[in-house]
Amino acid sequence: MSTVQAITAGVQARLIRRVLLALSLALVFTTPLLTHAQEKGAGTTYMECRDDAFIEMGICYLNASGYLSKVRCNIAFELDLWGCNADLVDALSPLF
Amino acid sequence: MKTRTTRSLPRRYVAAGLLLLAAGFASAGALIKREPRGLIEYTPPAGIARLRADTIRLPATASLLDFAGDSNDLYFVDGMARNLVHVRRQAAGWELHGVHSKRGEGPGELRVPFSVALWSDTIVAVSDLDELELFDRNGDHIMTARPNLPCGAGQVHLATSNRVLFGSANCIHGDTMAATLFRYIDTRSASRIVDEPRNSVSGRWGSMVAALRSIGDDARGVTFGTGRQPCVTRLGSNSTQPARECWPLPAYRADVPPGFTKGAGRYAWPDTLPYYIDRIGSASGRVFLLRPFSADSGVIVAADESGGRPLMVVSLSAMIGCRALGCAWTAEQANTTFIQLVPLARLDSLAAKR
Repeated sequence: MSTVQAITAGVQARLIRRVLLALSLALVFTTPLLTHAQEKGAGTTYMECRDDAFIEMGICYLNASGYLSKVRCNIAFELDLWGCNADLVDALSPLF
Repeated sequence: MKTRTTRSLPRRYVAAGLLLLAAGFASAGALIKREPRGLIEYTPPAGIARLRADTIRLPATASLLDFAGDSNDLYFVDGMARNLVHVRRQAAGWELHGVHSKRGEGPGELRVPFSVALWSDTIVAVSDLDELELFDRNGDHIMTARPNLPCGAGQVHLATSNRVLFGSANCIHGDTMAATLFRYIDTRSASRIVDEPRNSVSGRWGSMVAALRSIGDDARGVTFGTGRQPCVTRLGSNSTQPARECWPLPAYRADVPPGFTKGAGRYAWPDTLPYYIDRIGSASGRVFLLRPFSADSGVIVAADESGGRPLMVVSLSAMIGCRALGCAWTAEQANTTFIQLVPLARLDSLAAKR
């Protein structure tokens, strides 16, 4: 293998690694973020998504008894809320 | 001369070093003095009062999220049925008086009722997503209000004082999630009063394990705080100037309960438990704090300069919270809901004795 071929192969390997890393990061970050919005279907507005997250939190509270259960509901709600926030996903995109 | 100079320089450094060392010991001494107020595992003192409460019996199961009322009537938000459970004081004690509203999207119906407060002697306000549902004391619907709230807050907790309605919710400013206290000007608008940081959005500081509601009742106005610091902000009902009160409370730690991980991040179990998860101010001027010391237990203390006098050990399971009339817990048994209410007057009485 010539020196030029070796460098080209090295660059390609690095590029492939970076693409794979970017794809895996995108998967890790966007999957939980988009899940809630995706459940609501295409065209769901942020407010609709947020209202739905509120309702889910309310349902969580119905089954919650005590402090820690309610903390868990609040955490789930916050994660849901991030899932509704398309701006956050956009903000994260340049990082990939 | 050169020799003397080279010998004298190290002496100067040694002198400077001794001074710095002395300063270092002095500061270390200060740190050691602060250690007794550091992180501790709390054990309630022997002989502390256990929960002694008035019992209210409801002939049905209910998921009670919040309550408000006065010496004659109590209104509980039932998150399960999405209605208001109305309890009235009778000669024999508190008894179920009626159930108001129902689940639905129509006028006066409730979607996700979250909090309740008496706005005046005649109006019961219920926060429902971004709306306020207003009822009269008999539960008849008056109107639905959609006030313009700070940062579009939707999970609103309510408190009232002297016919002034206050709310609190979480707002995001950059990387900071802050609790916001606001006053309802009318049914259309509210004005922000003060913010208190809760945690960072990126998870660098703070924890979601904190006070569930940032606003609390106070006979002299409202109290506000997240429990991250041993402080509350008090605001008189007619005042625009909030005053912050802090106490030298020890910080508690507790083992990580199942379902939580230990470490940094706002979803993790914090190294330091919140200083309180609920609070209430009495007419005597005392502030009572509900302090967690383990995953499922807490102690009600009267906040003071001695670090807080412990009054009562309580369970955090099935806790509804502390409001103007006192602190309440709920229990289910054979399709019956039992509400345990520890009146604020009883806490005041306990605090006066100690």
